[in-house]
Amino acid sequence: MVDKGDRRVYEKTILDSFVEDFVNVLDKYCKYIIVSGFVAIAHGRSRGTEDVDMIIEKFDFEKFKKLHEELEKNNFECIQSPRAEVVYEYLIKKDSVRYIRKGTFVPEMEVKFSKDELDEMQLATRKKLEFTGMDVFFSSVEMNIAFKEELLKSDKDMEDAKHLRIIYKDKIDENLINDIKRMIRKLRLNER
Amino acid sequence: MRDKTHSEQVERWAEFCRDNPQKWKSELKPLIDSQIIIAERFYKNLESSKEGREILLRLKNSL
Repeated sequence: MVDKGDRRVYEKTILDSFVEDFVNVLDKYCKYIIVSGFVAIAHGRSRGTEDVDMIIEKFDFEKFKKLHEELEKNNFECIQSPRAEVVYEYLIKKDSVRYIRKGTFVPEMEVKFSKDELDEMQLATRKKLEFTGMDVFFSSVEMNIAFKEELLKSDKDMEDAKHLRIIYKDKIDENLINDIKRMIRKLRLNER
Repeated sequence: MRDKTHSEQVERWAEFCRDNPQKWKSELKPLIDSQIIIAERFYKNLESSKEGREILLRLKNSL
């Protein structure tokens, strides 16, 4: 980290720069959030990843075509297809699409459209998280903990959640986490 | 399931990050960057042979 007066400038990782460059284009077109593993990694979790998960609000094809073309102009390409209409079809069918920097294999930005009330809630409550030193929107810490503990549940996810719980010790809203977990059970696990 | 010492290390590192907000990123950067660089090198090597390209194609299609 370099200290420039009152402004802390962090040395960026390859993942940080990749995310910020992608978001600089995307931000002009739609609301987005970074979710899951990279949220923990951006808070210092010491593990690798090749992809960054992102949810974006749903929008029409004309707008998407412009976004896709601008991403291409900015040195990104979509693995699924160079054709915007093909990529949009994936998104509409609730599949994710993956963008990489041209001529590379990793990292990948895995993008999907918001698919339900929970995703809409994540977008509505998105946050910039100062601790990360990054100027991008993340889904809230409570959302990430709830998803990892209630839905994803792998060793890696449970450790991500533990890491976030320690970073934000005494700042986490446990009632909110429990409310989100209830919504996950209802909307994603089909429990009543 | 990972063992107890692994879990303890996760906790110790998270506490270090929390208590050293100006230090953790420079400590972590080599790990994050090297993983991406090594993965990129691996995929590029794979791409250099016919068999490797077929494996890559299968990998991409399974995503």
